[in-house]
Amino acid sequence: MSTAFGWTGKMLRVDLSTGSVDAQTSDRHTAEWIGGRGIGSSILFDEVPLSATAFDPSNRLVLSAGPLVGTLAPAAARISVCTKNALTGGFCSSNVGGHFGAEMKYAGFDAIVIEGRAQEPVVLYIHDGSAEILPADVLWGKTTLETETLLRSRVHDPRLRVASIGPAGENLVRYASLMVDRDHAAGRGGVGAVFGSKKLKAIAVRGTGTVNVHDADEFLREVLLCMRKIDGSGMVQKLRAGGSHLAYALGGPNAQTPQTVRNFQSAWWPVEKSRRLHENVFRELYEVRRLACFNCPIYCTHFYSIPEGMHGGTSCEGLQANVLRAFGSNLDIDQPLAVLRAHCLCSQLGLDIDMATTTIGWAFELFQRGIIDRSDTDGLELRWGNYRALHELLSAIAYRRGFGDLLADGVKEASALLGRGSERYAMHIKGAGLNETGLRAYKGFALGIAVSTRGGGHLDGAPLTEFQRVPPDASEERFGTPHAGNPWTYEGKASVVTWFEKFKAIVDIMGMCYFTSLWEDMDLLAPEDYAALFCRATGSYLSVDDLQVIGERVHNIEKAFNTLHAGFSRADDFFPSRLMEEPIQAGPHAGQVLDRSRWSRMLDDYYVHKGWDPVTGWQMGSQLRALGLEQVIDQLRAQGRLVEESPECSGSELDG
Amino acid sequence: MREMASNLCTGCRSCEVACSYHHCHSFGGLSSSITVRCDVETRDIRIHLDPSCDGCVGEEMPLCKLFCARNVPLERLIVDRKSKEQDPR
Repeated sequence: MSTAFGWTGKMLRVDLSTGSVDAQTSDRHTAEWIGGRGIGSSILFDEVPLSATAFDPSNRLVLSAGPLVGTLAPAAARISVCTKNALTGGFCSSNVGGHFGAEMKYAGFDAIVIEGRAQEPVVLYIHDGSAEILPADVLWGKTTLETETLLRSRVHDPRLRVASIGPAGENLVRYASLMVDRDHAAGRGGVGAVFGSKKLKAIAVRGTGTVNVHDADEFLREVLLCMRKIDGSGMVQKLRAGGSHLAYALGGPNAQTPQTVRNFQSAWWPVEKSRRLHENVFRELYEVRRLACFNCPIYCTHFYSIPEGMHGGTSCEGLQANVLRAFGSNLDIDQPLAVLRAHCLCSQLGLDIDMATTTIGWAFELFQRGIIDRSDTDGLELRWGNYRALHELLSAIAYRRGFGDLLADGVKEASALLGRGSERYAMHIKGAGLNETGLRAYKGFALGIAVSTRGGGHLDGAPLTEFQRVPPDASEERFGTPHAGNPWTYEGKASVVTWFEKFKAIVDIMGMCYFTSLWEDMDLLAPEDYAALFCRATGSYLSVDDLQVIGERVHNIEKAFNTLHAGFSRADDFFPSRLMEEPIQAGPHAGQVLDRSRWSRMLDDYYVHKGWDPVTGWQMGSQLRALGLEQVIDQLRAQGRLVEESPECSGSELDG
Repeated sequence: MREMASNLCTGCRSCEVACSYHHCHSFGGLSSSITVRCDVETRDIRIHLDPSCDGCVGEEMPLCKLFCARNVPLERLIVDRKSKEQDPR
């Protein structure tokens, strides 16, 4: 199919308005941006008009793998789904595993770029270098599981890989997810809603081609070295046993991590409640088997089935740490079956769990405070712990029924529409809801989430070093500061976050999973390992420094997209006042809060590390020039959002 | 075609991809002697072996075994390479 190494050399361009499909060379994009969100962010920056909304036909959807996807590189299974964010109006990159990415490569494509809007619902069917736009017919209205099952039976190929949306995406719920291989979610940023806006129900892909590597023997030697590191990691043993559920959920193994309780009103959930949702409860009662994404030696996902009872017939893959936080501590639900049921509902309706529950948590708190009552909620009693109300609401949101219609636009929009002082309880950053642990206590983790280009989430620069308590000498050696493992200090965290922003961009553009990386465990794969795999696979030489520059370029083009499309500036890097004014009341982190003036100084430090202007938070011409991003300079200057000279004062002086 | 079910198997398909490398020095495609199929609803996994398996003649150990993270007993399926070496047909 292609003689290119690592890459296939092709990307698929689809215009749903005209019905055209066109296989083009991907060489220019892969040479400059490697893959994943590098390709996605650059295409969005170049092609999405400033006037376009997320649901405008001119918005793009870019599904992009990396050069290692489809090879034997461990856990090289990931694709990035990039689009204009339906919640923030800025950049979105949502990353997902499963087997879709490898199949896309075997079908001959490094990336799929979709624009336009179909007249009637359609499915994009890709097979061995070709693509067809087919009527979705009866699939429209179906759940993601039904869609995948029907598509497989329609082409009589059990090896077909499917990425689909459920009713939530069809109904333009702003946090609708794209579901891949049944239960793997590209959840963030409403990519499912953007699919829905384009009337694109699903992409089905099948390929019998191959991915070649430049130096196969050396590549395999490198792969085996990486697998040895993975096998030797203590954290990997935990992930194998119980995913991030066991490793990080509900206070973590030592119950030391602050939690998200009742919409951030508290950070301490009683131990007896955590125990009811412990990983071993699910494992012993409901686990059928362990499962893995393509070529992943960590197999962090489990398949659960509940054959009988009130939740009978439920089955799904999971559960990762965010699920327990979302449905458990945040909504105060300690019934494992109810959590499992809610998880399955979100997968099948195509709803992002994090955003759904931050919005529902906001509604529960309003009910608690008497700001809303049953006359607002279609009779639902939104009491903490009421899982029946949760299940009702998830369905109401997906179909935009009654009160669910208000919640379907996300917590920021819903609070603006409702008013009544409800904005105070809307826990979001840049318009994206917050389902995070440890925010008030773990300052570096919080910083990484606050400045994340996709609007919150811990998958950009947020480090886990504070969870891991990385020792000062190891921290100094890797990050140039001894403080990476010290949760409460603000000092040195900017350098740790900027390091991880570059590093995680590198992992993304390769198409690999963070669970293989030193983000998860300092003993796991480092930039040197990714550089070695890349060089052996592609035959192109890039040093660690080169890769870090590319990582920084990716992050900067995403930042510029946010500045141009959403108008974000320094003020958007602050959390809601609750996290900055109400200290944690109990537990090992009692008294911790994100002190506004210290936060402000930490932001100054962060912007200086990035080469950005501390007063506005915008990018500066000199720094963008050094990264070779001339086109970004031109666009920012044209919109009056480029800072030409270094300022003489800091942002924290102006924050007061 | 031989096949087996395995509760240990995670469906990651490392064995499949490693096998394709043995046969054609690239990853994926139709050359692999092993295919792993996972039912979309039940998540039952079955591993199928094609007669093209040669037990990884020329390798130190069968690559499907080498790259399997869970030590699935693939030896129950794969060809005994000693017999293959004696009778390369």
